[in-house]
Amino acid sequence: VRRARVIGRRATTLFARVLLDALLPLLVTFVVVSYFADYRTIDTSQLKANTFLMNTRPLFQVVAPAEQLAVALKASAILLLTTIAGAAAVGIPTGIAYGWSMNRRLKAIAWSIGTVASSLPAFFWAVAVELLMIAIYLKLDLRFLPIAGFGVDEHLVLPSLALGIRPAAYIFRFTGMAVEEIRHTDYVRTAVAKGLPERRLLTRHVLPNAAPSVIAATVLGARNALSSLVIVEFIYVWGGAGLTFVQALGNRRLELATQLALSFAIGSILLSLAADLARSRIQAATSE
Amino acid sequence: MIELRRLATNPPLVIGLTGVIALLIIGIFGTMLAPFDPNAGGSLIWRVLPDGNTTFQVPPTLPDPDHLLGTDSLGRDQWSRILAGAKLTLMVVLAAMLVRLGIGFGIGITSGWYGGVLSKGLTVIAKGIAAFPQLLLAIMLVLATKQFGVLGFIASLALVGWPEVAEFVRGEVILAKAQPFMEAARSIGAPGRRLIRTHLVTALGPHLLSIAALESSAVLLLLAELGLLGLFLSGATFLVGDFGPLGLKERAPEWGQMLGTIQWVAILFQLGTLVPALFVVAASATFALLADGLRAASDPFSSHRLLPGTFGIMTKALIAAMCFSSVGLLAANVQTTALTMEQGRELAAKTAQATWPGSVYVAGVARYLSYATQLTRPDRLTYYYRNLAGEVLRISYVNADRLGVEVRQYETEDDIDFSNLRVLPAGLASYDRAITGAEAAGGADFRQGLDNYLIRAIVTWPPDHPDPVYSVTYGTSRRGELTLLRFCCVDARTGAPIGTITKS
Repeated sequence: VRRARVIGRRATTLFARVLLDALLPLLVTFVVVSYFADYRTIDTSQLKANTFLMNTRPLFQVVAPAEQLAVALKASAILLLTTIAGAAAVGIPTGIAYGWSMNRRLKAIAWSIGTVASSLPAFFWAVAVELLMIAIYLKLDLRFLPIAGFGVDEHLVLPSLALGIRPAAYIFRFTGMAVEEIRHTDYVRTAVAKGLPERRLLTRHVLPNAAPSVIAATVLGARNALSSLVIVEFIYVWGGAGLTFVQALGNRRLELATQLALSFAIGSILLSLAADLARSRIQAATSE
Repeated sequence: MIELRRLATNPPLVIGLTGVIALLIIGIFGTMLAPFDPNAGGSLIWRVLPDGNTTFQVPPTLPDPDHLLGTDSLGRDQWSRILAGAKLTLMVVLAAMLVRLGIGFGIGITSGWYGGVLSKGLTVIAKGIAAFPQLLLAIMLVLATKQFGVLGFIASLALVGWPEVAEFVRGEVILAKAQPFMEAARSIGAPGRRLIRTHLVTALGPHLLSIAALESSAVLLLLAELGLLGLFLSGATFLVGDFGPLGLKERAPEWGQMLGTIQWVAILFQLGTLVPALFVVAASATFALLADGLRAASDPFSSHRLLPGTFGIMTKALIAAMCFSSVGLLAANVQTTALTMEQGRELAAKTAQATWPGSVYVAGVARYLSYATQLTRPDRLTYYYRNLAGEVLRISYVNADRLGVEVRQYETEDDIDFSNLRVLPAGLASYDRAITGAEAAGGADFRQGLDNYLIRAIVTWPPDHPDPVYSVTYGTSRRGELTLLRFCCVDARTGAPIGTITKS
């Protein structure tokens, strides 16, 4: 009976949590979107006039109107996952190396690079890299990475680079700070004194304790990438949710725009829920 | 002195303060500092070489001794445009930041102080708004509030991003509520109003300025992103889009608008196009540095801390400067109502005299588009001036806004025969009565169910009429086929219809 009661209480808190953190906010976003994406309130002449943007799509990808939502979401998911995976693959090892290293000068250089990278916005990187590629092509006649279009190949490189620099810097800084802090704790000192090999020290003591910071940084980076997605997709003409959203607004296909905006909201809410869950799991695991 | 020395140990604060003061100075005096007229372009850039010969280049040009940052594709000096554009940009950014802080602090304090269901409800709303990527919501807001001009643009920058501020303030309020000084004040019977006003504000005060700086940086970046998408403010929130011979049209200088032109000229030259982006990013980094420095200076346990007195004075001075510059500039520059035909003519007359002295006003057009909000505000007011050679100058006010001006020579877009029109006098009636008349006479039925139409109210003085008249045309195109419907006529002096308005 007691067990059932505990399960019941847990279910109630879980339900309240989902209601307050996910369902009701989604309702708010739905109300906001459907208020603004209304033919009577919205004035899309500004976007419509932007022919450069509006007519690009058929050049690169032909999609039936009914499939547009699914195709766009898939393209965005590919880009986001590549970005976050790449950012983690760069940020976590460098962060650990930063926290573990004793070389002060090297550390100072790495930290300032991280600070600069984390403070410059994605649109700046996107524009800068795009212009660099054009300059290389014009001056040196080299043509190694495409600056526009969709494709799960070399097309993926530049958008995910532009999108991923900032998340990578976040992950690097958070991981570096956490590892450095943990390295000076009592339990690590004890483990060192007992002669634990360095690799074991790292995998058993340092990394599990640094994990919450890494996850927090990854989520922060992912949210950041999600909010920069629109502009990066626009600059690189990547046919994902962001570009499709702008085009749908400009062509007055407001149902599609509404669906895309809501998918963004759902994605970002799921992201924060998943992060909360992962954090509480890890906290439970480390405290046991 | 000790304070100054301590200030020197905090480089972010020093750089940030200097940078922000420099930005404010550029914002206020930028137009005077600009070496060239920011709107004066040319199809050729002339230059005198050291050996006395002259040479020319076709814009956009790379930086040279005359034009420090080169020229854009209309031949306008980039450096002048950056200096002159700082005013509008900073005004909008600071105003949007102040509104955003107002909302964030208001909601944060309310929900942190009262707690309970109210707090839960406000948190849910904040979470709902925060679930959107900021840019996404800002795009929708800009499109929805276009008819309010500058104020709409400011509102759309301010109505996103406040949930983060509110969340932070709420946390701080909950912390402050549990502090001993708060408990002591409550125990001696201080009323809630007083608790909030004196104690809570004192506790939140140190954060205020650093949040303000941080939000300024964020708003500036948002403005830049909107600019890149082609949504920017030049008085009117309007776009580079509609292609003329050069691809771009003249707008009031503004940093977001300068960014909007990047992708069109990227193929021609790469370094120069990055300049506006660099400026925006540098300005935003300055604000972020100021925020960093202020946070260190207000932290009582930091080695960079400043005395509360100094900090207080600095905070008040900076906030006052920001409020003054944003509100003052707004008051001086912004008019949100649509221009009437006559106000627009007065403005256009000055431009026409400066561009083509001796030209005369022959036709005026107010046009409405199906893509714009219904007939509440014209999409564009256009004035045609004819010179002695019979050539035509077109001056347009986009979105009927005085800052969104376009000037084009030798170009018309309204299919008017200018050859034998008489000169229009000053003091004509506005376009709205002509439009309402035409709507009632069958225009409303015509555009019912059409998803693409263009309405023009054209004022001219044909030689066979005793008075200047308004005529209204409705146009729609389907698969390249143009259908036109013309309504005639409304007396442009009185605004009264001449006889009955008839279709033709």
